[in-house]
Amino acid sequence: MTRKWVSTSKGILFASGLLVGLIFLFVVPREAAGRLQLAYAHVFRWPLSMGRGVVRAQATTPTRNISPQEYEDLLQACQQLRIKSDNLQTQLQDANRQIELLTKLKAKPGLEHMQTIPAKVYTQVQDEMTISEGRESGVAVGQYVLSLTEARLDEQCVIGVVSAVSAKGAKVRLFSNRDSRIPVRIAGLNVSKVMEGRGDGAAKIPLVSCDHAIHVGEAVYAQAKRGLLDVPVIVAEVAQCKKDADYPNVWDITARPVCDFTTLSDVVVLKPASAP
Amino acid sequence: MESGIVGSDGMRWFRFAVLVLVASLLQTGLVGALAIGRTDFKPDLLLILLVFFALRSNSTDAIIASFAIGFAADLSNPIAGRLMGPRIISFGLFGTLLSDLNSTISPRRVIYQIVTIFLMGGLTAGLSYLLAFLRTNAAPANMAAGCFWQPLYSALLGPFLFLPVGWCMRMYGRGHRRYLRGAPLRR
Repeated sequence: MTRKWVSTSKGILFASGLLVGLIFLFVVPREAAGRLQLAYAHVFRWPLSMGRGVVRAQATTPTRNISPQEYEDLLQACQQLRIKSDNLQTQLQDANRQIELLTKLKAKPGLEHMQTIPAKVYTQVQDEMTISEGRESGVAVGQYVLSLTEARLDEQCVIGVVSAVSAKGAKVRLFSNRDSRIPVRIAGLNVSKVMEGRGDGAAKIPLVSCDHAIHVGEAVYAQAKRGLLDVPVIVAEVAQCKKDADYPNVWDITARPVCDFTTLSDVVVLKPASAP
Repeated sequence: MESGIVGSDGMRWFRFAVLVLVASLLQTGLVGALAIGRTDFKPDLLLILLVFFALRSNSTDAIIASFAIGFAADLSNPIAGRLMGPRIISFGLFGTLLSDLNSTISPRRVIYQIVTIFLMGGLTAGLSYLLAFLRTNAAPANMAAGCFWQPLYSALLGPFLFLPVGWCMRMYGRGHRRYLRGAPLRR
C-alpha cells in the first residue's frame, strides 16, 4: 500500500513537472519568459557582472609568446599595411577632392544637364593631350573638354575638343592646336567667330571688324553648341589686339589660354546627359 | 535552521537551492573563464548537478531536483532567447530516467560517471534543441557545442565536482541510498 502511494506520488510529481515545462514552453508567451529571465539577470546583476568582468579580463590577457623572428615578420607586415593604408588614404583624399570639384562644377548654371566624365591627363605633346578615359566611359569625338583645377574653380575653362577615342583613352585637341577650330564669342560683342589654333600655345580670332572695340584681357567664350555645350564657357582671353597687316579694317586678335596646360593633371569631358 | 526544510529522507532543500543558485550564477558569469579555444566549449555546472542528484538522492527527490535544476538552467542559460521550458522538460525527463535506472546500474566508478554525464549532456541538449525548434521553428545555433563539446567537458570535470558537492549536501556517494534506506554501509 505504501509502495503504491509512493509510486503514485512519484508519477504525479513527474507529470506535474512535465506539465509545468510544457506550459512554460507552449503556453507562456515568449515575452513573459523573457521578462522572467531579465528579472533574474536584474536581481543577480552584481555577481553576474563581476563574473563577466573576470572572464573579460582573462580573455584580454595575452597568453601566447612569440619568437623574435615572428615578431620581426609581424612588424614588417604591419609596416607594409601602414604604407598601403597611407596610399589608400591619399587616394581617398584625391577622390574626395575630385568629387567636391565635380559637384561644384555641376552646380554651375547651364551645366546641370551635362554629364561630366573626370579623367587624368597622361601626356601633353604639341597642343594635344592624352587622357585616361575613353569609349568605355562614354567619351566620344567632338565632346568638349574642360580643365579641372582647384585654383580656378570658378573659371573652369574649355581647353579643347576630343579628337580621337579608343576604348580606354582619348586624345584631346587643345584649342591652340593648328587644326583646332572652335566657334567663340568675345565678351561684350554679339558676333560669333571661329578661333583657330596657331600651334604655339595660343590661338587667333580672325576677321573681327575694327568697328568693334576689343581690349586686351577680355574673355573669349566657346559658344554653346547643341548636344555638346549647353552654355557658353570661357575658353581663352585676349592677349593681343592689333590691326591686321594685310587687311587694315580687321583686327588681328591673339588669344591665350586662361589656364596653364602644362600643369593640368585633371580634366573633365562634357557629355550630354541624354547621350547613351 | 535547516531542520524544518530537510526532507524526510535527508535531502537538504535549502542547501540544494543555494547550490543550484550559485551554480547557475557561476554558469552565467564565470564559467566562460574555463572555456577552451572556443567560447562555447565550457562545462555545464547544472548538468553536473543534475547527474549528481539523480544518482545520489532518492527517486522522489531526484524528480523534484531534476525539474528544479532544469528551471534554473532555463532561467539563467536559456537555449534560445526569451524561451523557457525545453530544459525543464529535458532535465526533468532524463533526470527521472537516470534516477530510476540508478537502482539497477549504479555508476560508482569515475569512468562510468564520466560516461553518464556525457550521455546525459548529449540527450538533454538534443531534446532541448528539438523542443526549442518545435516552439520557435528556428534551428538553434551551436548545436555541435551543446550536444557534444559541452557534455564532454562537463563529463571530464563532473566527477571532481561530485566530491565538494557531496560534502556540501552531506551526500557521500557510495551507499548513500542504502544509508537512507537504513542498510549498513559497506566497509
